[in-house]
Amino acid sequence: MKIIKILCCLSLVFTLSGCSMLTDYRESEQVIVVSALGFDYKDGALKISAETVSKAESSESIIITSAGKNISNSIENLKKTAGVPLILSHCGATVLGQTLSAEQINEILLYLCTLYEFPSDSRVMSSENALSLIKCKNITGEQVGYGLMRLLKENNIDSRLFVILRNEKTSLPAFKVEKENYILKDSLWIPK
Amino acid sequence: MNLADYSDSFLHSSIDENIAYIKTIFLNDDILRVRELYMLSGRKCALFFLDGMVNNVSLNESVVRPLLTYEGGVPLEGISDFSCLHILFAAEATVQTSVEEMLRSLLYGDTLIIFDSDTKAVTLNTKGWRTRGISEPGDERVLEGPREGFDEAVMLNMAMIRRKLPTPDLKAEYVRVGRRTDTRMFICYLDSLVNRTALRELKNRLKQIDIDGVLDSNYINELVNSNRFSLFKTAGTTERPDIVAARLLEGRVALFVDGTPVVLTIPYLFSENFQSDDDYYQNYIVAFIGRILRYICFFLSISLPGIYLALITHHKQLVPTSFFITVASSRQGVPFPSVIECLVLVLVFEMLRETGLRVPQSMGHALSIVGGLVIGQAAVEAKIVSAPMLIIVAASGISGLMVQKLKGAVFYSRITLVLLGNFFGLFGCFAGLTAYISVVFSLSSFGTDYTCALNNISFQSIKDTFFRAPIYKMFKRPEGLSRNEVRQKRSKK
Repeated sequence: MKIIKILCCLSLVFTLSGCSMLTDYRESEQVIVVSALGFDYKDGALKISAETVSKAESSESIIITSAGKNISNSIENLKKTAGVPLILSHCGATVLGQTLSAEQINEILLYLCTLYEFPSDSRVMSSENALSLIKCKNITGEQVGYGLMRLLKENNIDSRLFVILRNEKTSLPAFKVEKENYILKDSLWIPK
Repeated sequence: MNLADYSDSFLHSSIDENIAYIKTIFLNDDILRVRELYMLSGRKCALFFLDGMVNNVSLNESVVRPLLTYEGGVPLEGISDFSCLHILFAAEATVQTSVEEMLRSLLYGDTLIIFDSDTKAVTLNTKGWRTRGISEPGDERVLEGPREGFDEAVMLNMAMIRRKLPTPDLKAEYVRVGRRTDTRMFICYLDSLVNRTALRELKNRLKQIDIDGVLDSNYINELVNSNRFSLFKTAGTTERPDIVAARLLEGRVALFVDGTPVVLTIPYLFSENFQSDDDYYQNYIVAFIGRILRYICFFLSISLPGIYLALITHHKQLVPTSFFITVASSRQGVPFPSVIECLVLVLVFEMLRETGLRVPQSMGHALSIVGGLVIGQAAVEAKIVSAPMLIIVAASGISGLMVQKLKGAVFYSRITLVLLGNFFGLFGCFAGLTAYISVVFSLSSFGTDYTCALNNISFQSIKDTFFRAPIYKMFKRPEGLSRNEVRQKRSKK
């Protein structure tokens, strides 16, 4: 009877945990942490660029890019390009290129919101070209994603993902790139 | 042959036959000494004693001298009774008829006297073996408070406890266990306070023991324990008379075993694992912090490696980004999966702890420096283990040292939670902790709930569990332990 009880408990743990040992288990050094995601629309494809955090202190961040027909397809392609599991849960900034339409932006934000691992407090912002913003060199040495996030915090601009989605009228803080660095624009960008 | 085999044996009336008989029993035992002598009345008698176990001065002055110098007449029959009343100076003299009892006394350091033409014999208390003496127990040192500890001689221990509790209410029932060792034990309790259920249970379980030898109280602990597969102690152990006295005053039962300074106390409650002797000998505010810290450390000790492993392998989104980056960076180049790394470190820590206990004290410091610092540092630099994992396991191990009484339970629980955390993430960890709490609440110690203080939670019931309340606030004894729960009357101030 005791053995049956133990087996029942183990099977409950196995099933109720969602078999996380098979799905979620990843060694920390075998994953890539994404600090910023950028979205651009070019040549009829949704281009996605991801800034990843380097685990070695001296080396610079690596930018991974991919393209797809829609957001889910782009994310899938991005994961394939990376070759190792991508960790989106530490994404500090989501940069939306100003070539995206309001409809596409809505689709992207809703999709990100449905990803359980994507942080709902990731800062959403815009730039003329998301990739060029992500490629900037940050003078402080930190990742661009986290630098953008800090800059918004310091300027008291609340553009967290769930706040943007909750607002009916979307207006995003805008950044522009000057001499390989980024600066916060005075005006907000409203997608059309 | 065991002592019980002589239960039906009796002496002859001829002294020479009796001497031969006793010598046959102790054949090839060169420690037995036999002294034959004639009293002034011409009556022959023989003294038997074991060399090294008797006090020679006492033997000469209170036994040999009176026998050789007694000038009065002696009766033809009943000389054993007569000598006890008129000749022998020993304070404790008993007339024995059974050979079993004679041998028992002789083997315990008494002197046996056999007279010619008498089937009875006299046993005299001439015990005189050397004992270690009263010293402070190494594992139960206190900063303040009494420093005496029990000895291996049970009678000395009984005297020490009697000195702490000079009341006729203190009872000490004599029990013997062990076919060959015939180990003497005393069941000790305060009659008006004792938990009758526990006392009855203990006596019943002691009666059922059939073992050849009992060399330590842990033999009894394992034999009378009803939760044999449990990781938790259900009988307390201590070497300190003040602790035994305090537990007796709470209605518990103490079992003194001859040959060991460790005394068992029952029932034992879960909260006792977190109590320290120091708690009661220093300010309650200081003791309060210490008690709370022990609970926190216990939780950290069992769960920290498991939760850490679950977080870095399953729930990376819950870890602060900078911390996760640090962990991932330090894991670069480590050849083993995190779970193996963790288990190996836990085992290494246990090895170091055990080795530290076994090696001489002078080498202990060198061991901790070489084991803890040098090897740890080298292992991290050689990328065999990662620094955060080393810190987590070390923190967990050090926390575990705060609750020494639960060291076995802590080790196994830690390993279990590490495996659960690795395979099932945080869900597994919390399922394990839930099961852990269920097990603790399902245990009982000699008929008393292991967590009886938490059954009906009130300030009075938990005043000596999660914290140590001021002594002037402790009006009652622990709930469920004693029949008479009032410890002190409430002040009218």
